[in-house]
Formats: sequence, C-alpha cells, structure tokens
Amino acid sequence: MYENALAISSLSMNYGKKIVLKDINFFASPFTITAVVGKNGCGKSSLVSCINGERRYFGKISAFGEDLAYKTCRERAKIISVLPQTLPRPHMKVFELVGFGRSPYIKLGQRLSYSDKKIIYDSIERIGISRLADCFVDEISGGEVQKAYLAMILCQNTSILVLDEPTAHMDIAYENEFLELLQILKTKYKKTIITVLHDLNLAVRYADQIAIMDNGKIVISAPTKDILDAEIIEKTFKIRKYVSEGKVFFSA
Amino acid sequence: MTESSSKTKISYSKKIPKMATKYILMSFILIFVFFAALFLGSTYISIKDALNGLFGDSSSTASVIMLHFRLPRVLSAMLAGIGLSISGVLLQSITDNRLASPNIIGVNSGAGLAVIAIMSFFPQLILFTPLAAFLGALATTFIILLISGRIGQTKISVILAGMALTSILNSCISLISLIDTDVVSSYNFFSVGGLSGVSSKQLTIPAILIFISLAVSLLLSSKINLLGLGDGIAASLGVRVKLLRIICIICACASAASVVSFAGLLGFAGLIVPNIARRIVGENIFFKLSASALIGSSLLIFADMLGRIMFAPSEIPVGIVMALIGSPFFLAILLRGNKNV
Repeated sequence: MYENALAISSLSMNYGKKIVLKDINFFASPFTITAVVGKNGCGKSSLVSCINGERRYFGKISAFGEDLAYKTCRERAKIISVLPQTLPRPHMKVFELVGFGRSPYIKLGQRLSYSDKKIIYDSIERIGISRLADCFVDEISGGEVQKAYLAMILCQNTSILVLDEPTAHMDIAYENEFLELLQILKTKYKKTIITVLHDLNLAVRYADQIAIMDNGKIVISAPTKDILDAEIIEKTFKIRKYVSEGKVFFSA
Repeated sequence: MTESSSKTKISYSKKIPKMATKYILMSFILIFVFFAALFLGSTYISIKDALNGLFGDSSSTASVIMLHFRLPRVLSAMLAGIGLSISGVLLQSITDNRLASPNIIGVNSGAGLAVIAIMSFFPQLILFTPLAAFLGALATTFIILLISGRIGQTKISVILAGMALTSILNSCISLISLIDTDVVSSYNFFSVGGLSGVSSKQLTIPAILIFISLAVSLLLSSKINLLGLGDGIAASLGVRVKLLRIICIICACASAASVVSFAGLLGFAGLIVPNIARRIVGENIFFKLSASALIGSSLLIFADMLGRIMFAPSEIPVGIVMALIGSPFFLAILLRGNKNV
C-alpha cells in the first residue's frame, strides 16, 4: 500500500513571466478528503490544471508512486479524474453525459459495451440521480448538473478525484448533501478526493486534511485537527475562530 | 437496479430505431433529388433515354449529356455539400460556436485572394485557378494554426485569428480589384460559387480529400464530442486537446478548400447545414457529421437543379440559389422552436 495517493513535489508553474505556483509540496493520503483552501487568485485552480496535465509545469506529480509526466493522456485518465470549476450544460441526456466517463477505456471507433453501460447505470445510481438519467443536462438544476458530472467521473473509475470548487454555485442544503456524498465515495468506494473549497467552515467539517495556499505557495498541508490547533487559518485569512455546540466556525 | 433506472434503459434502447428512421428518410431524400437532378435539365430527356444513356449506348446525344454534363454536375454538387457541411460541423464543434464556418475563419478569403492574384498577375496560368484556390485556402489554414498556436489555441483564439486574417485577405482582394478592374467580373463569378463546366476529372483529388476528412472525423467523433465539454474535462477524460483541435482544423480546411477548388466560394452551406443537422439528430458529432453529409449534399443538388431549370436555358449560380432557398429554410427551422438555437 502506498503512503500517498497523490504526491506533488517542487511544483512550479508560470504564465509567461508571471510565476503562479512556487515550489509546491503536497501529499494526499489514500482514501481521504483533502481540501485546498486559499484566497482568490492564490493559484488553486492553476494547481488543479497542472494535476490535470493541461499546463506545463516544473517539478513532479505522482500518483501511487508513478510520475504522471511519463503517462499518456489516456493512462492518466484511468488514474485521476478532474472536474473543473465551470461545467457546461450541453443539450444531451444525463445518461449520455455520464457515459463520457468511459472514454478512456474505449478505443477509437469502438462503441459502449454492455459492461460499460452497466457501469454507467451503477454510477448514476450511486450518486442518487437515477430519476434524472433520461433528462437533458440543460434542463436540470445547477446542483443536479454537478451531481451528473460527479457520476461521470465516478464512471471513469479512477482512484483519485480532483474537484475545483464543486460547491461554488450551490445553496447551503445542496452543499452539505454534496459533501456527504463525497464522504460516501471516500469510505464506501475507497476514493481519494482532493477538492478546492472556498468555504472554510465546510473544509474543516468535511476534510481529513487541509492544504492552505497563499500567493502561489502551500503555507501548510496537514490533518485538519493539526491545522486548527496551529491557528494557521486565522493568520492567513485574518479571521476569527469560534466554537459552538462542539463545531468550529470561522467568521470575519 | 431501481425501477427508475430500468425505465431509463428501456427509453435509451428506443432511441436507435427513431434515429434509424431519420437516416432512412434523409437517405431517401438524397436518392430522390440525385435522380431528379439527373433527369431534369434544360434539354428534355425521357427517363428511358436517360437510363439508356447512363448505362447503355455511349454514342447517343442523351449519353453525352448524361455522362459529360449532368452526372459530373450532380456529383460535384453532392461533393460540395458533403465537404462544406463536414467543414462547418468540425469548425462549429472545436470552436463551440454555431456561427463558425469556412468563411469566418478565412479559408474562403485565402482561396479568393489566390484566385484574383492569378487572374490579375499571371493570366497565362488561368487554367490553374482551382489549384491556386486550394493552395490559397490551405496556406490560410496553416497561418491560422500558427497564429492561434502563438496566442493560446483556445476555442475563441482560432475564430479571432481567422477573423483578423479574413479582413486582411479581403482588403488585399479589394485592393487588387481596384487596381485591375478587368478581373472584377471573372472574380465575381468565382466569388458567388457555381458548378457549371465542372468535369469528372476535376473532382478526383477533391473527392479523395473530402472522404479522407470525413473518415478521420467520423473515427475521431467520440473524442470531438468531449471537446464540447471544455478543454479541462476533455483533458481529464484522456483527450490530447491541442492535437485533436489541430487535426479537426486540418480536416475542416482541407474539405472546404477542396470544394473551393471546383465550386468557387460557396460558403453558406457550411453555416446552415450543421445547424439543421443539429436540430434533427442532436449534439452527437458522429450523427451530426453523417446527417450533415446527407442534408448538405441533398440541399446543394436541389439548389443546383433549381438554378439550372428555373430560367433555362439561362442559369443561376448555385451559390445564389442556395442563399435564396437555404436562408428561409433555416429561418423556418429556427422558428419552429427557439430552444437551443
């Protein structure tokens, strides 16, 4: 068993002359949820695009001990699935969208096999959107679209899921439901989840580990409890922590 | 499995026969207009004589008309329809913009500049006009690839690079036509787009290029579908986004350039046919490509036939008829329901 599902070491990236990520070192343990938090523009989405192989970077990103730079796009897609922040709403049925998750396993010119279709139905059912399978993606709510895409990457059958602000456009009830779903994926389906979150209160409640980013660097990456004890969040975001009914909250 | 998901499975499996019906209907329309265009023309030929001319006695007048005039003409209309339609589908898919077409990204203007330059500066090479048009369009494609590569090669950068290049090329065309007014009337004929005088020999290379582009696009259709979800998701699903976009641009431009080489600047089909196909078969690129090929060829054959017989023995170039019948048809389809326009 590997100690780290995802390991990033000495990662740097720049847009032209502007350095966006500087010497990032970050590790995600298997079957945990890691929340990446930080102020707007600190480089969270750039980190996600590097993990996705969209941007050139310096340094090393490895999954289960294997350097992803030496993997083909298709091999990478069988190890890590990434959901960006903005999700389009194409005019197609949820079933078809979820079926795209099988793309890395289908050769050119091949069609979905019976077992592929079974995996698609299973994924839709696991996320709890069976009733939406025949609906058009552009006709369902924002939260349901997010779940449809989550079913798609579940269908991709990767060990590591990377999500960029998945709860950005959800209301509070949907946010909690969605994060509970991630907990189920972690525990029941043994997924390692790395998610960018803008809400610190949700991060401390649902994540096992937190990585705090500031100005293109990881300030600290540690188990949630250690982060809370070290009072790093208060210093980085200049906010106050208070505890109510045994739960930790942050407020400006 | 729950009851609701079982229902989903049933309704999904019903989709194939419905789609098959649409394809049978589209194929039937194509076969009908193909033969109608063969049998109708300024010279009356009975169906019996026409069939005899096509498959029997090769020395009769009917045979000469059928084999040397009507058949090449109908085949060229069919080829032009396929080429422009698949070019439009590919460009609209990779740019995620339903207004993208070979005209917008400068392919037609590149061909136009090459043709007017030959007419004006090298009139002795007038026979090489189709080749010049093809090379002009292809050169424009590579310039677009170079520019969009330098500025990021995102969806919008290809369109912006194309539009900028189009205005430069159009300015050059206007400049040449101002300096050399003698070429204007010949150039106008080329710029409207027409199929008169096309021979079977002229169609060989364009046909090869168009069918290679169609085959490659159909083979890659499952990957091109993913581009519609955005570069990030496509990359996450194992697509080499930049490479796929380059292949699509090359296929789109090669097929559009092939059409320009024998039919002139017939751009309109590339814009409307993919939109019509989308309304009929949905967003899936495989269906959209194949349906566009059927619809585009039917529409072009029909428009060319109308142009030949409406004011016979005079002819109206297919480009004009296409715009006249295509636009109202397109508007009618849009007005039938404004959803997902």
